[in-house]
Amino acid sequence: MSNKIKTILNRWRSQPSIADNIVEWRQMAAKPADTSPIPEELTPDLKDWLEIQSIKTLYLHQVIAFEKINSGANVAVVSGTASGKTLCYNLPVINNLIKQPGGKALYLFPTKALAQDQLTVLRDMVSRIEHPDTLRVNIYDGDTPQHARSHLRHDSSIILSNPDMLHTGILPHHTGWKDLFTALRFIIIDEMHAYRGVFGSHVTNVIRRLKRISRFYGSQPQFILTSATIANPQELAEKLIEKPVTVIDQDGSPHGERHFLIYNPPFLDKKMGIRQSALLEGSLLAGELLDEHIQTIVFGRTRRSIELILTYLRQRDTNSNPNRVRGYRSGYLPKERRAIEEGLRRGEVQGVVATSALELGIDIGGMDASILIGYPGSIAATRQQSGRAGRKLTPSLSVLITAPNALDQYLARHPEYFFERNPERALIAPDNLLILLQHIRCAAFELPFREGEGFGSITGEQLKNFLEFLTRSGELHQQADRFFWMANQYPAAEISLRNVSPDQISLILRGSQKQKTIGQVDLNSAYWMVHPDAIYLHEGMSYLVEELDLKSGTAYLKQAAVDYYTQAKNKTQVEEKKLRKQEPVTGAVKSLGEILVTAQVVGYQKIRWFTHQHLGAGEVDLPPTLLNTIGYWISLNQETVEMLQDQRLWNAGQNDYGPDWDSIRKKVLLRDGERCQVCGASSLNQHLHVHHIQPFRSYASREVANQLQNLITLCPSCHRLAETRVRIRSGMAGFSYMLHNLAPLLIMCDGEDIDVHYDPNSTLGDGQPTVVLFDNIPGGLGLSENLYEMHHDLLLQGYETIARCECENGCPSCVGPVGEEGSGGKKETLAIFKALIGND
Amino acid sequence: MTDWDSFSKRLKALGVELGKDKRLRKLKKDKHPIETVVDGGFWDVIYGQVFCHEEIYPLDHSHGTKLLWTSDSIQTLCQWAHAQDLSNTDLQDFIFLDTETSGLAGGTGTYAFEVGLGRFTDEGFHLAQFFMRHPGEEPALLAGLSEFMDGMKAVVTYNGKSFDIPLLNTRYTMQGMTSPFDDIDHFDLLPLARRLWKLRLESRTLGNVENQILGVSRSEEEVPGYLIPEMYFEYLKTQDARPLSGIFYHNAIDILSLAGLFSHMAYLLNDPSSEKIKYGEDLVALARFYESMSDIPQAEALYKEALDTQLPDDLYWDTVQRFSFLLKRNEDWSAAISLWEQAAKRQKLYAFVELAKYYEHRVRDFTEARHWTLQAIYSLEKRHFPIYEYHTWQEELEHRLARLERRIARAEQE
Repeated sequence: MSNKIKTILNRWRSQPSIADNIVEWRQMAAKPADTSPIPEELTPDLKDWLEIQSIKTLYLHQVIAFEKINSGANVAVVSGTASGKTLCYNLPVINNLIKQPGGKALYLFPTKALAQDQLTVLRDMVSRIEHPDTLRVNIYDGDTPQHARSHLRHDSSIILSNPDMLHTGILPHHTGWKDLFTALRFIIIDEMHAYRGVFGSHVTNVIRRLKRISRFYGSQPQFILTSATIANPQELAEKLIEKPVTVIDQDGSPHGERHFLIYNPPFLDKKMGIRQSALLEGSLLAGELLDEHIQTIVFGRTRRSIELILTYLRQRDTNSNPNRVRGYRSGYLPKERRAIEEGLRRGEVQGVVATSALELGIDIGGMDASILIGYPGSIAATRQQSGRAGRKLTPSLSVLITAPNALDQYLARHPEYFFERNPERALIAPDNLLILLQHIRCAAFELPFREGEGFGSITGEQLKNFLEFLTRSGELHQQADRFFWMANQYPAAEISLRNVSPDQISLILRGSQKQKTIGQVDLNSAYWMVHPDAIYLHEGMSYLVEELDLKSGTAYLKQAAVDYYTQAKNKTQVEEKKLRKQEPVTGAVKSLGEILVTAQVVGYQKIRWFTHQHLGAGEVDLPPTLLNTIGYWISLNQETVEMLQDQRLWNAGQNDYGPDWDSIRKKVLLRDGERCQVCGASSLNQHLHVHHIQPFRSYASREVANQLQNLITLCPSCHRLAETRVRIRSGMAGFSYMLHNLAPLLIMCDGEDIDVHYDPNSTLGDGQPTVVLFDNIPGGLGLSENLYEMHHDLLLQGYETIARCECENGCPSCVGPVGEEGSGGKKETLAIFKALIGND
Repeated sequence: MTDWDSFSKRLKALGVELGKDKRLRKLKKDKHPIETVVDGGFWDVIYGQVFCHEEIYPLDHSHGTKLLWTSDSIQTLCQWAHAQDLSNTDLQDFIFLDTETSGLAGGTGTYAFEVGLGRFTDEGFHLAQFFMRHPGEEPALLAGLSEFMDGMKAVVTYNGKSFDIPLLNTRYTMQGMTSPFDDIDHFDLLPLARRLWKLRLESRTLGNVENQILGVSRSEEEVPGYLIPEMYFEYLKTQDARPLSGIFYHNAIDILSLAGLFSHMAYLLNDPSSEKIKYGEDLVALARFYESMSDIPQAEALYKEALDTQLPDDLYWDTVQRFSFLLKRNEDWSAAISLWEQAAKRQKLYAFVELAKYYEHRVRDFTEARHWTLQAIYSLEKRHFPIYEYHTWQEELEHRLARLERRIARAEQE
């Protein structure tokens, strides 16, 4: 095997068509195991089991974990993929349950699939003990059949479940779980790094409720957590369980020599910034690996890409069995997953193609190579996916194929991100008011609150406000010193742990026969994703939204074979509510504060695929959404603006257009009846712009540029879209595009958690041009705060990315996509960045 | 977050609305406590006091058109409920129970604020309705229930298996008390009502059953069930118990209907016959019931009677089929054949097949068997069957025919 990897690498090195695109080539030496003898205190049953598994010694971290857990500490084990994390908790827990019978354990996994895998492992362990009947292991989740549930509740020693089931199925019915809670000794939280952002904030509160219920039944369970490598495991663990945690991050597991490559597909059109498809390039490399019988796992970003990769790989080698390459989807039943794993072990399956869902610890046995098509979104995820490749002693290979977008291209130039830099911090905000309120309702449903009682780290004083609020809303009734839930409602059903707004819009497909639900979006996204007449894309298919019924929370779609997509036209306004921090920075002022973002989808544009032609527009009548959140904004100083104008790099102002611009502008407005020529908005509600259809700068003479035929009245929203579509982009647009793309990289958040808005005349900045980045969640999640602190770093990275981009005027990899002709705003954007960085 | 106003403003800003019209009501000058609205007193129990309304309905009280009390044996009922040996039990050992709750969702946040209990005593039917004026009185309410129920051997409810009893058990656990329902039998009359009247009544809610079977109609005092939680919440805020009298009425009628239904079921099951039963559908349902309880003679008698009444066509032929199989299992061939021949005239495929089977295996008259098989095949072709069914029948019949042909051929050779 080692020869095969080396052979391939040498071949690629000598092939310019491949070698030229490899932007980074790293090799990490092999590492032997760091072992420690099996602890004496382990019961003979488990020692026998280890022997049967051919495990003669344990890894260092497994022994440390064993000892620490036995001492009663709450422990977090942090290590990479396939490092034997499971034994870190299974050994001490089962050991304890055998030695002191009567105790119970609750295991929580972020997915049902993980629970399925652990069930097999645990049942195997337990099957060897002297009285296997005394330690029953069972899963209790949404798939557990009704008739089995009651029995499981009373009979099990170990319950495997997930936070969602705990939240709706177990805690609100805790009296049925009395047997579990009275004897609960251990709570295992696996893959805790999955509990970040909104999800993590919800889960923290579910754990608060769990601890409260345990206390009611008189138990004080010990917590054991595991995590992949993140920058702040101690912080996250202690925030999740609100108790002190001992972190064990020594990784005693061995690995062979590791090769990590970053492959950037070559340009098809350098000027326009268009590169070869990452998917095709990745499939090509995967194909070569499979030809050499190197077991490879390929990660794609979407389900559709999985299908495309599979098709390509199977077509490439029609002689062999098509099942030698298998797709691995999260929806598979355990039986199917076992079959694939078995096939890998036997060598019948050579390749597996999966979405990033697989990163969550499913044991697929070390592969020899992994290919990541597109950056998975975080360093931690990248490490986990590439960590799939690598058995204990043999060399392994991992290749990241960067896609043509700003983030991936940034990383193509900064490979040190994966190697030197720390992975991201996982951020949660469990005390976000909205999230907290929902869980306090659930907690009150589960057990009445007593006056003075707190909730997690929320003090009694603070909780009082919530209880009073809920009493006034009529959901709680106060009697003497206690608050009882008195409403004909089941609060847990109103929350989804995966997002903040409880309101979901179901997407119903109107077909020839029955109606089918194809998905869900949360209410806020629904306005711009599934407004009436929108084209909604799902798994590679286009659907037309026929109707959006807000009252019933449903969008009705029908399949549509169309050659265009739609882009919602948003009218956004950002208002400052309360300033928290403000500092002058180079060339600007940076601020942090509470803001109100009012967004309204007022219409849409139809854009043809690939050519980006405009096929028309439409109007939409939807209510505005109000978002109260935290934002971080940068307002350019007047000096900066003037400097940019002097350099003729500022074209958002009127001054460029000559001394008679004012009167020309008035003529145009008059001609156009003081109405936006695209959407009809009148000047009564807003300030209208006069826009050059053919860009001003593309003319030799000002007079020709300013002819009335070349001028058109537009409202600010349509003007913005016009810029986006074809012609000159102002530097502000490029500036905000870059920041929006980079921000999620610097803090470990999903792209959707942060949004951006810019305005050349912003109230946020006293009329100065301003870009604001904000948490896309009511009340904020702490993301903007972080970005505010990282201001300088953010700007530096942004500048570098654009400066080093090989495109001419702008491209999706730096300042944003550009139309067929015209300037992309790259120069203007660079100038802004430079002005804000100063003389570094 | 110390300032209340700013806190609620913040929440409002986040889109959290206070419910409509739910401001803290000022307490009215004169409250209307429960004891001034409903006749009753306060029981002293270990956890304090609990309000209880009691009433005794005399031995000859009629609920609807039927007597509340039954002197019929409850043996069959007990058998059906898989009760422990209760055949010697008296009607007086049963407790009839119905709850009024703060919601239907179940779970630990649902309270039973009123629990009605009834039992037959020498004086008559004793109704006791326990009511908590607020959730702080819950332990007293539960203690009151336990006291009233002391010594009872079984509890009777309507849909109590999935709702009332689990709910009360939850309440007992929440208060750290032992549930009195742990060691006694439970008779949930809903499944039995379904069995007896599914063929005839569209809905088997207690309200519909009490009306159709017992002839009960409720007065204007009645409040519909879905309004009850809201009424209790309103009372909690206003301390005006006047609207609650409707809830007490509703609950009382529920319990009386429960007891009346129990008695009526005992009456029916004790000695079912067409004198008691007006409807053919009911006879069919009873026949099926006795068949499932393995009381074959009773089942047969009822099937026979049922077929003599006016039955809707589908039900008639379905009953013929069931009865014929019962007879077959009993090896009552002549009766079975007679039914099959009837059904055969109506082109029922199973009948042809059963006759074929009978003649092949019992009589060994293969030619006759073949005759019936061919009839079946003929009928199969003529009628419209869904594809899957058609293929299943066809396969079976061809198989049968082929075998019969072989046997006939062999017999001819001999």
